[in-house]
Amino acid sequence: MNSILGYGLVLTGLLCAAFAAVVGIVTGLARKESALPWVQRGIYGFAASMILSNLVMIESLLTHDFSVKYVAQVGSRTTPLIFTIVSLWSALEGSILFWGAIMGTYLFAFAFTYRKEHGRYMQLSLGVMAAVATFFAFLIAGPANPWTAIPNPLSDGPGPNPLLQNHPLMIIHPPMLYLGYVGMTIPFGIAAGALLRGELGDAWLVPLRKWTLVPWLFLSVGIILGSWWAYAVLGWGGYWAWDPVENASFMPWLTATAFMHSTMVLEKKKSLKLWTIALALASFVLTIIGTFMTRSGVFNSVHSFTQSDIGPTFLVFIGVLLVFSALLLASRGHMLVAESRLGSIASREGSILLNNVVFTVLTFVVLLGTLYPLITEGLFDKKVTVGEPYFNQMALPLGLAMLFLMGVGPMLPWGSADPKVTQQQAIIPGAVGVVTGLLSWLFGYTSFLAIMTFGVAGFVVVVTLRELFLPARQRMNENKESFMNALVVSATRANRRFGGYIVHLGIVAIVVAVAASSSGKVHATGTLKPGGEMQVGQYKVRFNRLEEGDDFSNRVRTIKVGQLQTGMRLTSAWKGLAAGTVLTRENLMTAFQGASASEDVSIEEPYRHYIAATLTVIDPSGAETPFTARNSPRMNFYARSTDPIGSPTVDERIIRDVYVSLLAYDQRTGTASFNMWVFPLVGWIWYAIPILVLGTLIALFPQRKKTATTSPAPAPADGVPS
Amino acid sequence: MIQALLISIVLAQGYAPPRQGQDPLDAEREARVQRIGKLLRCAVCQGVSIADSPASMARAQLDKVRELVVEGKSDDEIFDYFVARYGEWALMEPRKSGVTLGLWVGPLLLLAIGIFLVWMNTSKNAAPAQPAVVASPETEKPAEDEYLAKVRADLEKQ
Repeated sequence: MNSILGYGLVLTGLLCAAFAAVVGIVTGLARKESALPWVQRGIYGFAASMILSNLVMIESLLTHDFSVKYVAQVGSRTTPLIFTIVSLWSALEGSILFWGAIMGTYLFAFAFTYRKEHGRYMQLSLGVMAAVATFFAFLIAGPANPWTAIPNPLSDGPGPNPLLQNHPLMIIHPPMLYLGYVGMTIPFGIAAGALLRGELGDAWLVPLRKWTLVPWLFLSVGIILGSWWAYAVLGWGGYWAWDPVENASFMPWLTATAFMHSTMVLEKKKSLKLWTIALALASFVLTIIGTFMTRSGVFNSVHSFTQSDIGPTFLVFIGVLLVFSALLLASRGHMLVAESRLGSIASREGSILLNNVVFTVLTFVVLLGTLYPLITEGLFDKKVTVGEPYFNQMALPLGLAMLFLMGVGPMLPWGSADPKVTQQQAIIPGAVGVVTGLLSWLFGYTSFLAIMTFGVAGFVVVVTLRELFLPARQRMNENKESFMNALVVSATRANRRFGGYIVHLGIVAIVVAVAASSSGKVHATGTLKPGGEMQVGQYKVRFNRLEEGDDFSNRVRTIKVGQLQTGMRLTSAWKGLAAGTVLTRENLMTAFQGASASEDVSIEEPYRHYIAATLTVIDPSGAETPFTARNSPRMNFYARSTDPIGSPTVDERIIRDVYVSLLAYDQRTGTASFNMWVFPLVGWIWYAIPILVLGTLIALFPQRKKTATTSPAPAPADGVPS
Repeated sequence: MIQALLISIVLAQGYAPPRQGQDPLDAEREARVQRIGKLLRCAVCQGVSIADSPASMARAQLDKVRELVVEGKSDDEIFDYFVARYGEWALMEPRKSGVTLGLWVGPLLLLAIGIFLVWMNTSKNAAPAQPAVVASPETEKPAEDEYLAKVRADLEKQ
C-alpha cells in the first residue's frame, strides 16, 4: 500500500517536473510569456508530490512497514524514535528521496516568491531548474527507487548505519549539506535563464545573489557541523581529513564564496559578467560532481556506505551539464561584455580579482587532488595516494593569502588607491598585526605559518572592526545619535556590507582556531591500569575503571510473556521485579513461574552494548572533572556491525579541549589504552557558526528603501537591451 | 538480534590489544616516528595515515617505523622501504616527480596564469593624479556612485 502510494507520488512528481521543464524552456525561448502559469503549476505539482512522498516514507518508517524495500533496509524496531526518522537519509535511496523533497521546497519557494516578477527570465530559469528536478525524480523512480515492494516482508530489519546513531549532530549535519547542495540549483537556473535569454539586467542580479547566499550559508553550516561530528565521533583527534566527501562539499563552497565577491565587481563596475555567471554555474556543477563522488562509491572513503549503481546515470548527467554550461557560456558570452574598465590592482576590485584567483586555484587544488588517484590509475595503471600532507601544503599558503586579502581589500577604495591614504590607514592594523604575531610567539607557538596567521588575523580584525563601526561613529559625530542607534541605522542602510564584514569576523575565528589547534596541540598515548594517570599538556587524566552495559532505545513496546528475552528492560513493575530491571537468565526463570504466556508486559530493548573507560580530567589547578560511563570514551557494539564504533570524550572548554579516545582495552587485566590530545581554541571552529548565520541573515535582510528610490514602480524592463 | 548481541559481547572481552613490543623511544626519536607515520598510508584503512589509525595493522607498521628509526635509517630510506612493499600508494604525500608531478605544478601554473590575467586586466597607470584615464568617474564620489550607476542604467534602458 505504502509502496504504491509513495511510488505513484514520485511518478507524479517526475511528470510535473518534465512538463514544467519542456513548457518552460520551449515557451521561454519562443518568448511567449503567457505560458508562465503552466510552468508554475508544474513546479508546484512537483513540490507537492515530492514532499508528500517523503511524508509517506516517514510514516512507513514509523509504522515499520517492512514491505517497503527502504524500510526493510534501514528500519529496525529497536532503533530510538528520532533515529528512525533520521534513517530517512541514512542510506542512498532515502537520501535521494529526501533530496527530492528539498528540491521541491526550494523550487516552490523561488517560483512563489517571484510569481509576479522577472517575467522575461522566469520561464527559462524555472524550466532549467525543472530539468534538474526531472533528473532527480528520474533517479528516484528508477536507479535509486526506495519504494520497491517486498512480497514477503520480515518482521524486523537491521536498523540504520551505526555511525548515524552515535551522535545527535548526525541528525542535522546531512540535511544542512543537502540544503546547501540542492539550493545551488536555484542560482544555476537563474544564471542559465539569463544566458538563454541572452541578457543579464541589474534586477535579475538581486535574486541571483540572494539565492546563492542561502545555499552558501547552509553549505557553510553543514561543512562545519560535519567537521564537528568527525571530531566528536570518529575519535582520531581531527576534524578535517581532506576526505573525498569533505572535498566534495568544500569545492562548491569555494566557488560560491568567489561568486559572492565577484558579484560586487559586477554591480559596481559592470565588469566580470561572464566570470561571475561562470562561477554560479560551476558551483552547481560541483555540487553534482560532489554528489556523484559521495553516492557512486568511486572513492573508498568513510562515506562510501552509500554505494549503488547510480554512478553511470550521474556521469551522464555531469557530462550533459558540462556541455550545456560550456555551450551557453561560449554562445552567449559576447552578450555579457564589460561596460567599464577596472581600476588598478591596488584597489577594491583588484583585491577581489586576486581573491577570485586564489579561490579558483584552491578549488583546482582540491579537485585535482581528489581526482588524481583516479587519473593515474585510469591512465597509467598506477595507484597513488593524495593525502592530507599534499592538501595542507597547497591550501595553507593559499588560505593565508585569502586572509591577507580579507584585510587589504576592505581598506582599498574602488578605482585606484591613493598610496599615502592607504599607508596611513594601514598603520594601526599593521601594528596590531605585528603585536599579535609577537604575542603568539611569546605564548609558545613556533610554527612560522601559525605565527603569520595570528599576525595577519590581528590585522584583519582591526580593519574589519573599523569598517563595521566607522559609519556609526560618523553618524554619532554628525547627528549626535546614541551609539546603538547609529550602529543600527548604519547597519540597515548598508546591510550587505555590514553582514559581510560580520561573516569575515566569523571566518577569522575559524582560521585562528584551525591554526592554533593544529600547531599548538599536545598528544600523548599509552596504556593505563585502573587508577593510573597520564599527563597530557598541563592536564592529567585518571583512568577509573572499565564499565560495561547496554543503551536502551526509550521505545516502549508491549509484548506477551512468552516473547520475553534476556537483555530486555522492564518499563513497569511485573511479578515482583521493579520497573527498570534488566532481565537476566536468573530473574526471568523466577518470574516465569506461575505466569501465563499470554500476559502483557511492557519493555524496552537494548540497541547497543558498550564498554566504557570512565575517567577524570584533572586541571593544572587540581580541579577534577569526572566523566560517567555515558560520556567517557567507549566502544559501542551494534547488532548490525561486527566492529565496535569508538566514541571519544571531549572535555570542551572555551580556551582548549581535552580529547581522549579509547584505543583498546583488556577486560582480563582491566587495562585500557588511550590516545589523548589537548587542542587549543579548537571549539571556535564551531562557535563561529552563529556569527556566520548572523552576518548572512543581516546581508539577506530585504532592502526596502533602495528599490523604492531607483526603479519606477512596475518597471518591467530590468535588463540592458542587447 | 540477541544472538548478535551475544557475539558482540564475546568480542568485547578484549578489543585489538595494541602491540606494545617495542621499547619506548626517547621523545625526540618518537616525535620523528610520529612525523614519518603521518606521511605513510595505513594499508587497511580508508585514507588515514598509520599515525592516525587505531587499526592493529597500522600500529604494527608504526612499530616497523620505530624499528627502522632505531636502526638509524634516514627518512628517505624509510619511505623507500614502504614504497618497495606497497608501491607509491603508501605515500600520503605524492612525490614531486613522475606522474604525480602534475599535482604540484598544475596549481602553481594556474596561479601564475591567474595573477597574469589580473595584471593584464587592471589599469597600470591609473595614478590618482590622472583620474580621466579611469572610465568610471563615479569612483571619485563613493557616496553617490551606486545611485549614479542606477540612474545611468535606467537612462540606458529608455
